[in-house]
Amino acid sequence: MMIRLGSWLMNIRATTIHIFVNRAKVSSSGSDKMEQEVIEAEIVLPTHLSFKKVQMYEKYPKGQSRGRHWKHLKQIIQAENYQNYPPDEPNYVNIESPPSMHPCKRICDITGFEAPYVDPRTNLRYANTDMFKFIRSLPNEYVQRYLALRNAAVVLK
Amino acid sequence: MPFISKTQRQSDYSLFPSSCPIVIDNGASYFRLGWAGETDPRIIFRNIVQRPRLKTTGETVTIVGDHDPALMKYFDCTRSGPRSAFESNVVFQFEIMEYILDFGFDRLGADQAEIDHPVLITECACNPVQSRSKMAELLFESYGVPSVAFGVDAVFSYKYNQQLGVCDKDGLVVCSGFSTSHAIPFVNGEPVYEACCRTNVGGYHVTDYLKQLLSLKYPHHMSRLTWEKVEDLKMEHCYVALDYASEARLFQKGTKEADEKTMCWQLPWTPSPTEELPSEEDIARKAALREKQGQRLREMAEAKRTSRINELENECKGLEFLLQQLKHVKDSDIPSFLSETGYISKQEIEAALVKVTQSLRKAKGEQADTEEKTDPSLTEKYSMVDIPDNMLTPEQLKEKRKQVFLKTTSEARQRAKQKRFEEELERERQNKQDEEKRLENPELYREQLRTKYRELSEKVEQRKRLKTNGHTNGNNNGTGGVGRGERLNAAQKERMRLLTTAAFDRGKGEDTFGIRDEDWQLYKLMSKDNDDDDEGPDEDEAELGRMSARLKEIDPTFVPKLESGSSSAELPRLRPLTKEDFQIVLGVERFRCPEILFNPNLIGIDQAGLDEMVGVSMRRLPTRGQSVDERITNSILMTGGSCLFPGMAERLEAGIRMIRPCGTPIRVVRASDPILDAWRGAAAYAAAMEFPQQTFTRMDYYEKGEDWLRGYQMRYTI
Repeated sequence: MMIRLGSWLMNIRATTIHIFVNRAKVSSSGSDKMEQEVIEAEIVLPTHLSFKKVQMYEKYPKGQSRGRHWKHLKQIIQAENYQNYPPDEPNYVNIESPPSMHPCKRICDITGFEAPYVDPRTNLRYANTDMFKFIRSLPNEYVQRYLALRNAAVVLK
Repeated sequence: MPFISKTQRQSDYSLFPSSCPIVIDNGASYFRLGWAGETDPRIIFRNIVQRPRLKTTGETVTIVGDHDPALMKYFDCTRSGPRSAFESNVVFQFEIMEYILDFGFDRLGADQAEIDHPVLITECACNPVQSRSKMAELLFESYGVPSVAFGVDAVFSYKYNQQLGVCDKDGLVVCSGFSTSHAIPFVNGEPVYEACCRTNVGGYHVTDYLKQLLSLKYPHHMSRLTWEKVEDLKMEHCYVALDYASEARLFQKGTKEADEKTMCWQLPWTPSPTEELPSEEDIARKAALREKQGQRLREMAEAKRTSRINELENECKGLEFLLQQLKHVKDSDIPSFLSETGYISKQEIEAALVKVTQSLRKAKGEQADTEEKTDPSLTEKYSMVDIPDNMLTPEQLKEKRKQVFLKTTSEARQRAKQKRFEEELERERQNKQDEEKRLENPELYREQLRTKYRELSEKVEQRKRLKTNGHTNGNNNGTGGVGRGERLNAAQKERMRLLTTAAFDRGKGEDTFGIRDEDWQLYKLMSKDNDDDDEGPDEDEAELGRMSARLKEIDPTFVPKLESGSSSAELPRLRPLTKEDFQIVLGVERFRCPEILFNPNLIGIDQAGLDEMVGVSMRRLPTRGQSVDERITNSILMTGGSCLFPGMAERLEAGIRMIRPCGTPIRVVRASDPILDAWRGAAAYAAAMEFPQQTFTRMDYYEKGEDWLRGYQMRYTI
């Protein structure tokens, strides 16, 4: 009944306050249908929280571009325009470590032992003949997954 | 267990004055929230949000943090997995961040109109200003926080340990967190960010590497290797080897020491009951059951037949009665008389009668005689066939055509019958031959038959397999069979292949297509009708059936292969599954996975590892003097969740010793609590009298703008 009344109110251009009251009621009626166990554990975040000045449903109204696009780290860094600042000023990009100076450790992709050999067909590193037999018997999907572990898989774009 | 969530709702929120700051350690893996001046955070939970649907109502709800997995059965989590607000260690998804803060403040017991406490929240070193300003905005706008301060978690951890006397005021912190690792040097108790460095490797990568390695090693147990479980395995078993190569060699040689270091996780496994042959009683019972079912079916068929016969007989009687009555009716009255019955003329009734009697006969099972009957009347029935066309009237011509048609069909039927008869004879002859052979040498015969049966069944099976999944290994196309190709059978696949190659072969060198006649066969193979050749049971299968019947007759030990699903059912039965098949063995993986912290190259990240980072950081330090350097290396603190691996301090020390000049004093210590020290340090800092000077208010933020916020840096020594 409350729900119907509320939506009717909405239809006749009720004030925003009315809508919020209505929404809060809807959510509480929804929780009535929840299992007792779930309610007791309180694992579901309430939609209305008294300590907030702006509620979630006001900020991100239902149905309105739910998955709002947030800038990814790459975009954030680009937007920061670090190139415009003096290079000796520390920033997120220039504090990154340089490439390692140590010789690259080559380990068998399958076993983790030291790997003196590389299979030219699959590009997998291997430790001994047994492993060579094993990698030759591997289906291509697995070869690619092993290669992906060290970011060396063939990526088709 | 180092990571334990605490999400009990606190009841003493109102007891804290509004000047008491709330301290938040916003780590990429865990979120910790508490009051300044206390020793432990009040609320701890995993920094993730899920938005599943309630199974009962379909309503989307928000669940923050990790909860009892038993409760998750009420939610439909198929649409959305756990999501984090972080990318690397920078907060970028502020919608998720808001849910997390909501939950945290809610559990802290906040019940007033706004959060009327200053907030100290941690961030990563050199956080991009965009992330920082969004966070400040969120705290000011949504929660009404009066003032905010940002600090770096690793620095707080160092400061806390400095207070405890673990490390000195000049030193260096190595913080290996969830998604990144930092090295930050300290001079005079203040962090020197100009000299800090970051490698994008952390506990997340270790767990992920372990998970991938194990699921590649044990593809059958992939479903058991959940993220949480692998995380547990990592924390329980992984360690850092002092020297990777020599440790790996130990395992390669299979020494006793390596065996002792190998851990084994036994998955729940119940030995499958040893397969017993069905007992006599069982067989008898099953046979009886089958017999009973057969009986029932036969009865049903019989009942149906009798009811049909009854029906037909009734109809027949009715029609006969009608005809009888018609005899008494004048010819002119017939139409009006018949109007009620639905028939038009006497002929029609008679025709109907004939039809009904015929089907009655058929139902009673005496259909054979109709054909026999036609035989004698053959000549007069097809009387017109032999008369030349020009001697007939048009009507007769039509009649003749009909007769010719009838004659040819009946002859064909006759021929088919003859052929069947001959086949029967042939089979009988073969059987007789077989029997003779058998009587000659029963053993040899049986053996021969068995091998033949085996060969044939293999052939049939092979063909079936080809038909259903095409080539046995999809090695040639590499993609592992995703998408549409998987559903086609072999013939269809071949056709697809032909079509695509035909399309792509164009323009490759000289086009010689069509010079040879065989080229044109291609179109025949491509045509769609080509692949319906597998209709109906084929010869081999029929032969197989015959053989198996025969074998059953003469060989009591013979068991015919199961018809359907045999290939899938038989494979696992090749070898009974043992306890070892349900074990997940952790050998080299125990130290291979944490090794990526020191050699990020192993997972394809081309950056310096933890030990080198210390060297890089020292090189970057602007004010240098040998005494300062020595003081710094003499007080290296490890903190962060990934520093908990055993052997970490020794390895780090060994690695740094390789880089630094000979004779440098090096002391590597672990933080008193690598996980909670960041929060504790922050809480102690926020409780200081001078803390309010380090915060900024909403007004400050809007007046001074983003450029100011970029340069904002708190002083840690107050």
